[in-house]
Amino acid sequence: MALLGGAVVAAFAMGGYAIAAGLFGTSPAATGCRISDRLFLQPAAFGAFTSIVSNDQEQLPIRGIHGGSQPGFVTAYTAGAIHGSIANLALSGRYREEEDSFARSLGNTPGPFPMVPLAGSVVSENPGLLEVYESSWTFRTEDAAAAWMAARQQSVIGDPQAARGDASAVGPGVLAVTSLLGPADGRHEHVARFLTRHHATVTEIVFQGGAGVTPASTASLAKVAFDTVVANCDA
Amino acid sequence: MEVTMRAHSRFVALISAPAMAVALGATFASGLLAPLNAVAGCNGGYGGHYYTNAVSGSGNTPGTGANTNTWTHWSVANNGVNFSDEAVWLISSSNNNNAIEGGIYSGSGSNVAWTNSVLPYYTTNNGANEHDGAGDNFSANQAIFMWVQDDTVPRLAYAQIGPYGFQIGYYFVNKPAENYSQGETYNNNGVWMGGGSGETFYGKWQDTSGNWNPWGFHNDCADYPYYNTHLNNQQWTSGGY
Repeated sequence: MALLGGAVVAAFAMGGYAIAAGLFGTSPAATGCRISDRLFLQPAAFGAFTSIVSNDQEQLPIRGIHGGSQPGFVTAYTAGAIHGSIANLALSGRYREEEDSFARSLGNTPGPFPMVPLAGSVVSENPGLLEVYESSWTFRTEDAAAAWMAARQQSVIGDPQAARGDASAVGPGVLAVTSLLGPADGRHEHVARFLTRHHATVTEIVFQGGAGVTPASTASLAKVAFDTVVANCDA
Repeated sequence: MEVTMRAHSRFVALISAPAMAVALGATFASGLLAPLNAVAGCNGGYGGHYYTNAVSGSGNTPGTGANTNTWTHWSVANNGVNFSDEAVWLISSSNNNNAIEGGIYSGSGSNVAWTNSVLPYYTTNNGANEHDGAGDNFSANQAIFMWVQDDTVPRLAYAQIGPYGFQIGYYFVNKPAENYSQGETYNNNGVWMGGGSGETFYGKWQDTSGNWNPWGFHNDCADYPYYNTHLNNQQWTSGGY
């Protein structure tokens, strides 16, 4: 499995996007990116992958907001989207049979995709990427975007299995967090999550897969993803 | 995609029989009162969110719980955004953003970006901070007691969703606090609530000694097309699609 999407990394590296100044800018006058498909990496960037989700997010992906006062990032939210991809090797063959068998044991009737997050042999036998989810959210103000990023940080760091990772290869101001999607039994996915803000747009990319999925192994892809946001922010 | 669960049992077992006298006695002995401020109630589709609510009293209660069963069928149209959840809450009467929520969900999550299974979760700060129980897959029609409590001394804040427990740590919900439960979907297009045909809840509140007591009353609402059927002082059914 292609873990790092080398061709894409190389292409962007040669392109030499001048991101250092723009990616983490905080100009009060700056606004958020216009949400479009151009902000996101396509499934092929990760290897033999298939889109599992691709949709605009008319609201922030949070639950439980009650009436009364609402956080500023809720009222200042303007647009967002999520794109998710899954490794083709999980979609058929013995891995798929195992996933579907597990789903049936829970009373689930399998659909066109296996039950996710993936677990079992597909994870223990494949150290590379199995799922990738990338989200971008745009707000009316940078303050609201910063508040949402802080809320996301608190959520992901609050995971008892979470630990901060090294994001220095991606860029300043980037948060990297590792975690597990279940017990540490080798059969549940490892997670490398990166979170950053470009003016009034927050972008998060989540790499899930086998034991080889770490911030170090996915930093190049994260950088490509964030470079893509900056390069196409106003496209 | 749509996820459909087979029915393991046509009927949902009620966890325990209502003990009306005990319920009323315990409720009033603890000083729980009818809500002091009007609960916002069902949102009427705020931002694409749809709710069914059941809210009981407010007082010095440090926890809210409910017996129910996981869904026998469910559907969350897969666009990476939708979700369906059912949960209990402990909410400060004076500040809705001071709250702990715990329940079950399928669809879009936080640390689990997307699941087509049914997982436990909890939130603090009115949903702003969420933790999903990755790998904690529920079986269909699994009897569970879901509860949340704040860090009223000597305990720490905690969420227990069936067999899955989550240490929240130091989080206090200012009093008076409300015992609250909800079903929630985003949005209503191909997203079922309560397994479609509905799930019955038996509401409980925690006293300061840590004991669980049946709700003495509750007020309900529902955003169309979902429903909330008031069964008695402790029980209700919510669902729909």
